[in-house]
Amino acid sequence: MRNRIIAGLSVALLAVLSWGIYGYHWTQEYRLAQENQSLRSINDLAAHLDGMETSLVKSQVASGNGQRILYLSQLAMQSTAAGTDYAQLPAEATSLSYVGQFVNQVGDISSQFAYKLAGGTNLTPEEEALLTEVHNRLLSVNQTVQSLLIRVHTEELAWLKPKMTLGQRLFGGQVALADADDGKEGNATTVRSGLEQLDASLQKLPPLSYEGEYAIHEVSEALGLRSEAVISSEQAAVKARTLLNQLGIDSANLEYAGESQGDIPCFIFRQDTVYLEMTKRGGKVRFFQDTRQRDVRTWSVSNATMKAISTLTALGWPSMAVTATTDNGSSIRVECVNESQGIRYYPDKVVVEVGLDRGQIVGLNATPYWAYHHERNVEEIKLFVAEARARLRSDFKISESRLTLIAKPGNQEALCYEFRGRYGVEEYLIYLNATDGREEMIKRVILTPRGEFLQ
Amino acid sequence: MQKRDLGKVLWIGLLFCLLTSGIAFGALGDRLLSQGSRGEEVRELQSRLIQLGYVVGPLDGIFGPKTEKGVRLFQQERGLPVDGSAGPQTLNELKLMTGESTTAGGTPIGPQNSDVNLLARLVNGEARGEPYLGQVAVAAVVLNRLTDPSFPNTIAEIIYEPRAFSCVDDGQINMAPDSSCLQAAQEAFSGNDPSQGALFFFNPAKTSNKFIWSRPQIIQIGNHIFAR
Repeated sequence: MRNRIIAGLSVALLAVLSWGIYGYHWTQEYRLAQENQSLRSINDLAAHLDGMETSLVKSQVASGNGQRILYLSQLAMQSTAAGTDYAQLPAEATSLSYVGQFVNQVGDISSQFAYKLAGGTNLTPEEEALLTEVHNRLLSVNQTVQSLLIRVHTEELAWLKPKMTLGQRLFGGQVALADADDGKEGNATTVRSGLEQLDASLQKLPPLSYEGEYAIHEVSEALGLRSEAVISSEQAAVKARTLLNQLGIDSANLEYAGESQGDIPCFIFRQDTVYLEMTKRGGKVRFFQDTRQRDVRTWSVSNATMKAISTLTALGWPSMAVTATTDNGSSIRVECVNESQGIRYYPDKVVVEVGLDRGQIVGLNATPYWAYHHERNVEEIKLFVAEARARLRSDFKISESRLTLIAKPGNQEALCYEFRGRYGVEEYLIYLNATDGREEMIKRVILTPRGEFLQ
Repeated sequence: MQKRDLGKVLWIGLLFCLLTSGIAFGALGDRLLSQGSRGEEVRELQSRLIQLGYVVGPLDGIFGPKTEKGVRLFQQERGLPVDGSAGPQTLNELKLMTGESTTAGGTPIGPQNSDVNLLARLVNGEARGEPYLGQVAVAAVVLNRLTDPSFPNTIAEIIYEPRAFSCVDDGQINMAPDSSCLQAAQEAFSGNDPSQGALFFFNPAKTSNKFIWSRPQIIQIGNHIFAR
C-alpha cells in the first residue's frame, strides 16, 4: 500500500514538474515574442526619427519646390510611421504622450507645408522659422531615442521595471526605483522612464504655433451661442418641455438630471427613454435622443426627410438643406446644413433622426451648428464659376455645382465651388477655392448599404 | 427488367437528384426559412446575422430557437414585421445590410466596415450593459483621439496602444459584439458624440488611477465618467 502511495505521489510529482516545464517554455516563448516585438518597435522608431530629421534638413536646403514637396511628403510619412512605432512600445498606464504629440505635429506641419507649396505658394519667413524650431526639437528627441536604443542593446535595459535579482524574485523583494523612474531627471533605468523624461522635457517647451489638423486649439466658447445669456436650470426645463411638446412627446415626467461641462456646457434632462441636453447659454437644444422601441416601418424615406426639414423650420432653423441620409432600418438619419444666399455652410450642421414607424423625431444633434455657426464675412468671389470649371480636368464630367463654405484643418474655413461629377465610372466631389482657384479637397463617392458615403 | 421499367427508374432517379440538389444548393431567398429549417441557406442566414451582431447560437445550419430570436431582433431593429421567419422581405434587408459597398459606377470595393467592427468590439468589451448613449460615447472617445495629437492616428493603433483599454488587456475585445454595440459604433462614426469631445472614460467605482482622476470631467453617462 505504502509503495503504491509513493508511486502515485511520484507520478503526480512528475506530472506537475512536466506541466511546470511545459508552462515555463510557453511563457519564455511568449516573452521572447513580446520582447522581439518591442525591440522591433523601438528600432523602427529610432530609424524613422533619423529619417525624419534627414528629410527635414533636405527640405530646408532644397531650392526647387518640387524637391521640397518630395522631402516634406517623406517627412509626413515617416512621422506617421514613427507615431505607430511609439504607440506600440510597452507602457504601464494611460497618460498623455508629448513625444507622440510632437511626432504627430511634425507630420501635420510637413503635410500642410507640402500642400501649400503644391498650390504654388512659397513658405513665409515665419513658416521657415517653424521648420527650424521643429528641427531643433527633433534633433533632441532623436538623440534621446538613439541613446536609449544603444542602452537597450548594451545594458539590456528593461522596458517597464528594472530587472529583479533571483533573490528578489524568490523572496518577493522590491526593486528600488531611481529618481529617473519617477519622471525626474537622472539616468533612466528603464526604456519607459527614459521616454517619460523625454515627455517631461518636451512638455516644458512652448507649443508649436501653426494652423493644422493637430494644432492645439481650444474653442473657448460656442460661436453660435456667443450672444446668448446664461440661463438657470429651471428656465432650461421650461424650454425643454416646450421642445418636447413640439416634437409630439408628452413632457409630464421630465426630470432634471445634472449638467455637462464640455465645450458647450448643458443642462441634462431625462424622461423614460428620452435624453435631452439644453445649452446653458440660451437654452438651445444641443442633443436629443429617444431610444423608444420602434414599430414596423410605415413612412417612406422621402416623407421622413420632409418631416425632418419641417421640424427644423418649426424649431427655428428655417433655411436648412439636406446633404445626406443614412438608413438605420427603423429610422433614418438626415444631415442638414445651413444654406443662405446661394451658399451651403457645411460647418453649420444639424443631424435629425426620424422614426419610420410614425414619422416622429427620435434624435437631434445640433452640436456642430452651435459650435461653428456665426455671422461670417464671406470672402469676395474672385473666380467665376466658368473660370473654376476651366481649371478642372477636361474629362471630368460635371453633373452639379454650387457655392459652399467648407471647414479646413485648424478651425479655418474656405469659400469653394463644389463640383460633383464623374471621372471614368467613379463619382467625385471636387472643391475649388472661389477666391484663388486652389483645389482644396477631393471626396470620392461610395455607395454603402446604409447610404452614400464620402471618402 | 423491361425497357419501360428502366425508363421509369431513370426518370424517378433524375427527378430525385434534381430535388435533392435544389435543397442542398438552394440560394438564400429561394424559400421561407423558419424554425425547423436546415441546410446551407440557414447557415448563410446565421452567418449574415452574426456579421451584424445578432446572437443565433452555433453556426450549424439549423434554424433553432436562438436563430429565431436573432431573426426577431433583426426584424424589430430594421422596422420589419416581427414574425421570427426569414421571408423575402427579411432576407432582402439582410442581404442589403451585409452587402458590399460599391463605387458610383457599381464596382464592388468590399464591405468598408473594418473600423466599425473593431470599434464595436471595443464598445462591447468596455461598455457592455451600459445604456446605448454611453456606448455611443465610448465609441466617440476613440474617434476623438484620432484628431488629438497625443494619440496615434488610426483606430487600430488607438485601441491596441499598450494599457489604453482594459478590454484589450483581458481579451474581452475578442468577443463578438452585439447589434447594439455595432449600432453605437456606426452612430459615433456618423458624428454623434454624447461625450462632448472626451478623450478618456472610466468607471469611478473601479478606478483609482491618479492620472485619470486628474482629467477635467465632462459628463457621466451610466457608470462611466467622460473626461478631457
